[in-house]
Formats: sequence, structure tokens, C-alpha cells
Amino acid sequence: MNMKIRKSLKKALAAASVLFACIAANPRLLAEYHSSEEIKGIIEEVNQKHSFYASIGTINFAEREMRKIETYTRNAEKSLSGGNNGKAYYEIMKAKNYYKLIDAKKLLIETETKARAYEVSR
Amino acid sequence: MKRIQTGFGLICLACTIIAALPSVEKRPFLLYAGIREQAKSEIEEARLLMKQMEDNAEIKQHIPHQQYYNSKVFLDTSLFQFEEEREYETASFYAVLAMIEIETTQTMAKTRMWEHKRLVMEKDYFMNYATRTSRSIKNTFDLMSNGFRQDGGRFTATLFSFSLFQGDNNELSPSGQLKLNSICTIIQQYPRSMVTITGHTREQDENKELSLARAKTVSNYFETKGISSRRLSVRGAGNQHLVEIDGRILSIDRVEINLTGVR
Repeated sequence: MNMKIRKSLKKALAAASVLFACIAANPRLLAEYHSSEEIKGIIEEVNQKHSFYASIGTINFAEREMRKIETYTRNAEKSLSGGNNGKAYYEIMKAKNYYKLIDAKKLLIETETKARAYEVSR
Repeated sequence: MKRIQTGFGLICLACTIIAALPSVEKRPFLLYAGIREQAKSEIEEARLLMKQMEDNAEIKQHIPHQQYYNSKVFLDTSLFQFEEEREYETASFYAVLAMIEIETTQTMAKTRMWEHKRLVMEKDYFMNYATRTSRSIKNTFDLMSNGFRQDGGRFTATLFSFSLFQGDNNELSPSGQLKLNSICTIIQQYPRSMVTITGHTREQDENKELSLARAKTVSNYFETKGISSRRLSVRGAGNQHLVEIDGRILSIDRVEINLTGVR
């Protein structure tokens, strides 16, 4: 009887090891620690910014960036509704970062136009 | 007994698989290959962008250091996640961030380049303006100290006939020649200027011919001194114009030399 218990224990231990190995092999993404509410907040912020940028005609000089933002926001919403918070966080952060590039482009156009106007008016 | 043990073992295995399923579902091993390839191509793209930016000689000196550093950090993090941690989703995320940061850095460098160009143009303009202004002040000073008076962009020297000509004729006196010599030197300093010589007579004389002849004498004298005839024009005004000297309106025999286009 003692022998049987030992054997059973060995198997249980082996099973526990396999389970542990599976969990250890799949560490959670850092981004997965972000809550749905937090991600929803960021999506809301990105959407508001997108509406504002669209209203000032950003599409004329940063169409590619605006399209990318739309795609990443859609992906984030899809991932969030599928319960994949990590992916959703990554996608919405990519979208959010594109605004920095749009701002830089806007400043470049303003500066270049100013310099060219100066060159012509001299 | 053996069957019970095998059954127990199978149950344990099934439990293990069921427990591991949610994790497998979230990040399926089979799909890793696709994510890995995506991350790899994004890293390559980011690297290429970085190389292009670093090789662009025109904007290289204007690259903002902070932005450049951020780009490097994102690219290195992406590589680390890909090669060391084997977290391909995270690697892909950082590769995209690196691409955005590199493009932003490049755009900012171009902005700084244009700003620099504008400042150089502005500096040139002000330097030229200062040079032109100081030259203009110098010209005015030189001409006024040599007996010219300024009237807008025109400088006029009035030479009385009694100090230029011998008696009532139109021949130059030696002192008149000396006076004209000094004026000639001034005119020669401004090769782009135009000279108008106008002869005037007294109120009681209506002798236009004399005034014209005197203006021509002065003009001819200037020509003998090397001033091109294309720059010289003559007029005989007779007694039509009066002159104000010391607050008094006078009608005097004189020759006026107008200088325009002094630069």
C-alpha cells in the first residue's frame, strides 16, 4: 500500500512539474498588467486627439500617419474586446506615439514655408 | 490496480493540459513563427531607417541628441526582446516605436536644418543692410563736406559763375578749374551716379544760350577729366529758377551740378 502511495505521489509530482513548466514557459507580457479601464482611457484619448487632428487638416500632410493611427486603434479595440489586454496596450501605444511624428511634421512644414518665404522676399 | 494507476496518471495529464490551455490560447506556440517573422522584419526596417538617417550628410549635423538616443534605446530594447527574451510581440512593439522615433528624429533634424538656413539668410540680410546703410551715411557725409546739399536721393552743388568763369563769358578761370577738379574727384568715386549740369542766369538776363553754354563748358571739362559723356547731361535754365541762400531768395549766375544714383 505504501508503495502505491509513493508511486501515485511520484506521478502527481511529475504532473505538477509539467504544469509548472507550461506556466513558466509562458510568462505574461509586461503590457498584460494594464487594466481594461486604463487601456479604454488611452483609446478614448487617442480618438479625441484623432478627431482634433482630422479637423485641422492633418490628413493633407500626414495621411500615412493618420491611417496608421486608425489601424492601430481598431486593432487595440479588437484585442481589448477579445480580452487580450497586452496586445491592446501595445497597439494603442503605437497609435499614441504617431502623434509625436505628426507634430514634428507640422513644425517642419511651418519652418520650411517660413524659410522659403524669406528666401523669396529678399 | 495497475489500471487505476494508469487512469490516475491520465487524469493528471488531462488536468495539466486543461490548466495550460488558457495560456496556450493567449499566445499559441504555433502562431509564434508568424509573430517572430513580423518582429524580425520590423527590426530590419527600423535598422534600415536608422542607417539612412545616419548616412544623410545634409541633416546629420542637425540631429537632436535626445531624440536620437531614444531611437537607439527603442531599437536596442527591441533587439534584446527578440534575441534574449524571445518575446516577439514586445520586440515588434519596440521596433515600431523605434521606427516612429527615428522618423520623428529625422523630421526634427530637417526642421532644424531649415531653421538654420533661415537664420543664415537673416544674418546675411542684416549684414548687407548694415553695410549698405553705413556706406550711404559715408557717402552723404563725404558729399556734404565737399559742398553738396542733399535733397532726397539727389545731391546738388551750386557753383557761382563769378568763381568759375572769367568775366561774363563761358571760359573757365584757373580757380574755377580747381573747384571743378575737386568735384570731378568726387564724381569719380561714384561710377554709377548720373550728373546733370544746369546753367542759370540772373533775373535781368534771359540769356538761355549763355546758361547752356556754361553748362556745356563744365560738362566738357568733366569729359576731359575722364567722366563718360553717357553719365553727363546739360541744361540751360536761363533765369527761370531762383536760389535760396541764407534764407534769402536770390537770382544769381550759377551752375548747379546734380548727382543722382549715389551708391
